[in-house]
Amino acid sequence: MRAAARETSPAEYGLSRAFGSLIVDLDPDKKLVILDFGVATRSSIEFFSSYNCRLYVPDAARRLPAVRRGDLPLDAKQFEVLLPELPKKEKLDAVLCWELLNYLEPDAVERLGSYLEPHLQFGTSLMTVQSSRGTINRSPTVYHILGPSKVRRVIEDDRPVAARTYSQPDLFRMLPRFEVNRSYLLQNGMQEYLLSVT
Amino acid sequence: MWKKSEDEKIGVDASTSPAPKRAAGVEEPSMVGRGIIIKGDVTGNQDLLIQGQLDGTVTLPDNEVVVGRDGRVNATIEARNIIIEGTVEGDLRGIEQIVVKSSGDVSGNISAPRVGLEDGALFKGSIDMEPKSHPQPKLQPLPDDESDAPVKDDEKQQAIPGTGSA
Repeated sequence: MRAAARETSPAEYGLSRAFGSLIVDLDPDKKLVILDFGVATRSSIEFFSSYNCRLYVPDAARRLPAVRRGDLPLDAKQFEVLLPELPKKEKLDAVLCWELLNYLEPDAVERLGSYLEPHLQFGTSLMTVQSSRGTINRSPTVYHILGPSKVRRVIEDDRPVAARTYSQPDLFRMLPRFEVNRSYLLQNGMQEYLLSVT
Repeated sequence: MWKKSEDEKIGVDASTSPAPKRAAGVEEPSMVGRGIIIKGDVTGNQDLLIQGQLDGTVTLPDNEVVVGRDGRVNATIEARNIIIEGTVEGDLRGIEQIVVKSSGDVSGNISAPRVGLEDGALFKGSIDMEPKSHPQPKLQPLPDDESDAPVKDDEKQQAIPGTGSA
């Protein structure tokens, strides 16, 4: 059951400096449009409820295990079903990928780039958390946003599976509209990137 | 008015779900029972509890709509307050507030000044939030050496602004 799984899930508190930097860069005076590939949680919704914003949540992190074959990363075709249909003229201020890219084959990351392309504008930010160890938890970590930079990570299945890891040149090639704004290496082997459209 | 036992059965949390503000003389809430299937448009001036299946639209801008745990709704719902404990596929427009309980499963677009989502709830779609009373202050960057959060595993972090290398 959903509740039982949560109770036994290991959780840890920490910082997401990439998310913190992204939030600082947002303009609180405008209607913000945010695409969140994470899970909609109580704390995350509470956090964003203080903003004037439209939040798109395709629930990709939770649906991902059901979409992939075994523990293999998603290819572009599989990934397609996790992409929400955005209004044509919708321009995004921020894209929260969290650990999504670790679960995607290169062609799926390229599909993400082409999917985002018509919705990008100057200053659109994208944050992603990359494994630098070659493995990732079997289920994507659920990030509960507790505040600017502060998160609680809940891991529902921590069995390691092979992760796709992407270097900066890889990211530049697959997401050509973005440049790396900031990068943070965490002790747990994860690297956070904050990318921006310039 | 709902009896206390009925409130407990559908699990409405009074702390997050304000009691319906019924004017004197307004009738008791209506209920779509478990064995009932409704196809069409629902309008009126009563609170509504849906435990059955409803396909169509629900427009009760002055009232509260609760989709109970057994409720299955494929509809656009517009109401003053909306509480979801069952399954909804469709857009929700709350004049005041929308709450998705932990047992709720919503696939659609939500629009309300206040939106609450309990952990465990399933949600896919968009949420349009327009807080009117709590403007968000401009945040300041977090110093690289700040460590006031209960950090367990991130004590050592390297920030390389601009370069992206680490």
